[in-house]
Amino acid sequence: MKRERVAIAGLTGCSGCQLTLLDCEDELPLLLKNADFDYFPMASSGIALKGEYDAALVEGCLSTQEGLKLLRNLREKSRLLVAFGACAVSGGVTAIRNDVPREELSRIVYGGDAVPGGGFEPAPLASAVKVDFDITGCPPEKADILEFFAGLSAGVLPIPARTFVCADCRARENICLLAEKGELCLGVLTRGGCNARCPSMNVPCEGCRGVAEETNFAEAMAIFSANGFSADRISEKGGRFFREFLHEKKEYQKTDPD
Amino acid sequence: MKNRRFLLVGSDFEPFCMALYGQGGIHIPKICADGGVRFAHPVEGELPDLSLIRTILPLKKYLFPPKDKVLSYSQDNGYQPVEYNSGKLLIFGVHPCDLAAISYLDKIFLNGEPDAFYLPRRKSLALIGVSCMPDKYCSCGDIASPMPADCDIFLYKIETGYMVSCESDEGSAILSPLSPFLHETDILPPESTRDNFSLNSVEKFPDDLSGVSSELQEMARSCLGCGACSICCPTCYCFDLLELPSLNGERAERFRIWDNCLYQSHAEVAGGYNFRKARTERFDYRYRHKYLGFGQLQGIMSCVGCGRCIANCPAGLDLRPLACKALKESSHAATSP
Amino acid sequence: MKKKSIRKLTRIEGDGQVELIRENGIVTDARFVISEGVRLFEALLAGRSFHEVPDMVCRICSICSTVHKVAALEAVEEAFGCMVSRQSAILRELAVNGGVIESHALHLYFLALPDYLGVAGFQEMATTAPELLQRGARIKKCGNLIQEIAGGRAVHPFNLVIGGTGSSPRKDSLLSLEDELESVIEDATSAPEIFQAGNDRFPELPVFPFFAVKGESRLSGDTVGLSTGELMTAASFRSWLGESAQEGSCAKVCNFGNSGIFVTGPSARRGIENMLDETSSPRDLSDDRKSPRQTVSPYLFNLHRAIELQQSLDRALMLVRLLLEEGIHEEKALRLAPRKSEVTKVIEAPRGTLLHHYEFDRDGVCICADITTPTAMNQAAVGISLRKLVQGMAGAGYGEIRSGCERLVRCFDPCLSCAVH
Ligand code: SF4
Ligand code: SF4
Ligand code: SF4
Repeated sequence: MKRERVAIAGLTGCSGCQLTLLDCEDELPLLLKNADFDYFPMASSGIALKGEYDAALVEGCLSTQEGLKLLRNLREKSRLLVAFGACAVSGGVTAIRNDVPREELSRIVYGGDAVPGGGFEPAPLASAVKVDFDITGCPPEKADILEFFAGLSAGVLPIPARTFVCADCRARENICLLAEKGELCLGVLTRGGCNARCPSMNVPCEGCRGVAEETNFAEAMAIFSANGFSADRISEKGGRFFREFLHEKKEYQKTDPD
Repeated sequence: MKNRRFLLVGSDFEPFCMALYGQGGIHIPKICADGGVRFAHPVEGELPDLSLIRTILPLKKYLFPPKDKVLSYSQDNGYQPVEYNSGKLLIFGVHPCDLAAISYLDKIFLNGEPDAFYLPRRKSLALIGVSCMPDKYCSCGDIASPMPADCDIFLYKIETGYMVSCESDEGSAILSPLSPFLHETDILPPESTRDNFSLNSVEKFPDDLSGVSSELQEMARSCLGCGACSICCPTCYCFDLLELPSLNGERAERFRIWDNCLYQSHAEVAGGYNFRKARTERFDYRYRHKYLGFGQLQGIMSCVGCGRCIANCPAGLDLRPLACKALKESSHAATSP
Repeated sequence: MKKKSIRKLTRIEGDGQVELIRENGIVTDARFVISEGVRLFEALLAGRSFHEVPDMVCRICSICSTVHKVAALEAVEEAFGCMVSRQSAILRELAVNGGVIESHALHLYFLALPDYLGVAGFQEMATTAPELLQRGARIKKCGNLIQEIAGGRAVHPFNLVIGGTGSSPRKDSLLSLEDELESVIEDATSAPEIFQAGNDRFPELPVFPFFAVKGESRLSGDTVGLSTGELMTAASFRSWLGESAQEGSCAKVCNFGNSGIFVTGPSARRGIENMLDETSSPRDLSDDRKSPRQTVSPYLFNLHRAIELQQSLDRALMLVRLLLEEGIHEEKALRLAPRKSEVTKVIEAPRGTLLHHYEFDRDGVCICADITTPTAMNQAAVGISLRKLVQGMAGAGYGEIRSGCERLVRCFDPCLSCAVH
């Protein structure tokens, strides 16, 4: 069987998506049999992008010119470009203050006027290149990663979950943290597929898999506020992974150095 | 003992249960450590709490699990069906609505060519029903499916304890070793939610919801689309098939997973065309299935009135007023010249 | 003529480079450059409620997500005067040890071992040293299992919540964890032996004074102990720990006033514990022998990491047994009543001392967050070590020096997402 040539790259993020891949300890031997991780700087010495790739999994958000260059390079060389994790798909938790100029935020942390490394607003990969597939989650589920690789060998892309976290949660026969305990659970808005990981342990969903296919934000807001949560609190928690919740909506800017 | 009735006095209830538990696998309705009400295995000495109104999931979780492996594929053997040899499981404390729901599911999965995954599981279940007191979410005795609340044994609550009615051969096999606790009686069972289950026949429900379109739209506006109602519904049985290849491409597994008519994907077909893109259309569809029935079971209401969809909806939606209003509108239309 | 050549660092977390200065073809100097994109976490947190702090900061780094989370939880709870239950405290300590196991196993067996074996990465090891790789994978998996049982997930452990724990682990999962730990402790017995050799290929390197948290448990407390014998309180950190932005690096560099350059990490922890075990020192490490308690050398970092791996496994087993012995209770997380306050927490992350400082207003809104990570604390020491290495390797070829530099940086197991955050 042909080994798929794969690139695993990290832009700006916590490396949690790459780490989750490395955390598939039981499956690593099989993974290595079917995929050649030709470019994987976090785990291997090679740093040159050589030849064509069957797939490039790119973690992290776009926030530096260097990252943009790497991303474009990977796009050019890869048949499939995959946004690997919440940061890559939507900008992730670090995009929550994209309403404020970067310089202003940077001043709070570094003091000076210039943003170190020339960093700009965290943006999803799709703001700069064509993305063929999203692996969602912060971090993604191991099962989703493995399903992608199984599909890669079989020549298909996985079918993304079109359910809600609530549906997974109810199918596991959990009690509802929102309706029965009055907690701020975002499962009613969140794309399923994690088997309701958090609510099943009595922790409200924070929406890390991103927004579900068809959502009703107005009604969800009404329920949350009926449970006593202030608009600020809702938008803070909701804003971690849902841009829809942020006070000031801002279109992602495409940054083009040329 | 089949078709005979017995009295079980209150003080014998505990030893009766313990003797019953001794017969093997049993699940009872109980409040679990997290406060959730579920059918589950009793812990040492735990009695079924027959006063509980509704479990989160109905019995379909045993017959038609959310994710069920149906085929496995390997390069050498091709596709092979998964065999089920489930051991006997006794479920003690099933309400009439949930029993009626099983009768309905039996019609879906066992009529004609029986479903190979439902049948063995269904055969392994023994059911002990119990009479109950409806709460504000229940609609039995009014708007509910006419399916019979069949079971192996049924317990009617009476003042002094229970009247135990043995209703099948399996029921007698279960009860015979328990006869020391049972005293035969000729008294007729008391009236219960098991009788007169449905007062409204399907014919009365209108086929056209245009008379209540504003209510329908209002519901669709408030619906979160999460699908909890359908997940918890004892007669929702839509499923999808999903095949997952293994990492080395040599094997694959095919699963039957619950589908949900509240989702966009439910009526989407190849090429992306969607028969029910708008949420109002999905509500219309749900109304039809629950109150009018469809396909081979057209004309049989499938809602058994258990109230789970209302109790479990984060937005507190309730299909009943819509149905009632539709009923009224249509009878009004019928009587006015 | 001076020329700079930049080499992307691999087999470390995050984005960084070694910059080699060449004069007339000869390498004369080296610099450690952290180029990871700035996410500005401290600014993101300002103005957000305390509820957001732990769930946000764990996203600073995946490898250290548990320890970031625990640091923030403890800070928030202390700020609002809340003490979590004994069971929750044990579960957190267990999770932190799980994090150490996973991080050290990842570093040693996946990222560092290829240097010892002369291969590019774990991919080659799968064919050339499969047994060793599998052993490392088993140890790493056990660290993950601990974090999953206590925290719900190996990366970003959501079950560790403000006021306690989301849900308590089940007895049967603790029992199987106990079995797993027992067998993995076996796997780890050879770790110090594997990692004591190998790095003696370096020329002489500088030695550094060091510091680590000194507290009731091995990994957390309110005081920092220095190798000089001094004790510093976390609350007074601004008087002994400085931090400044540095041209060309995305991470701030720490300084320790006039006291010189200190390091933090496994060797420092062992030093502070007064447990530097001379008998396990590798050959020919005279510096370390002379004054084992006053300085540490990057030579020994991996060895000490390996010893710590064992310590954390032992500790985890002890904690699991303690939980089983005391019985697991279902508990509700405590609710906090915010008040105006300022708090500083220190905790030992796998890479060294981690400091979280927050100020909250009376509604519990975070008005200031200041996070100092071990990699930022070690940044100056990495720089000096590189310079010394280049001097010590004078005459060697570019490739050799370059790979020596990479190997040396790796000894510190830097975490660049943490360093920048
Ligand atoms: S998506 Fe989450 S896990 Fe992945 S890099 Fe971003 S913060 Fe880390
Ligand atoms: S707990 Fe959360 S995810 Fe589960 S059903 Fe309730 S709202 Fe949905
Ligand atoms: S329950 Fe919500 S927050 Fe938890 S893993 Fe699933 S999508 Fe993410």
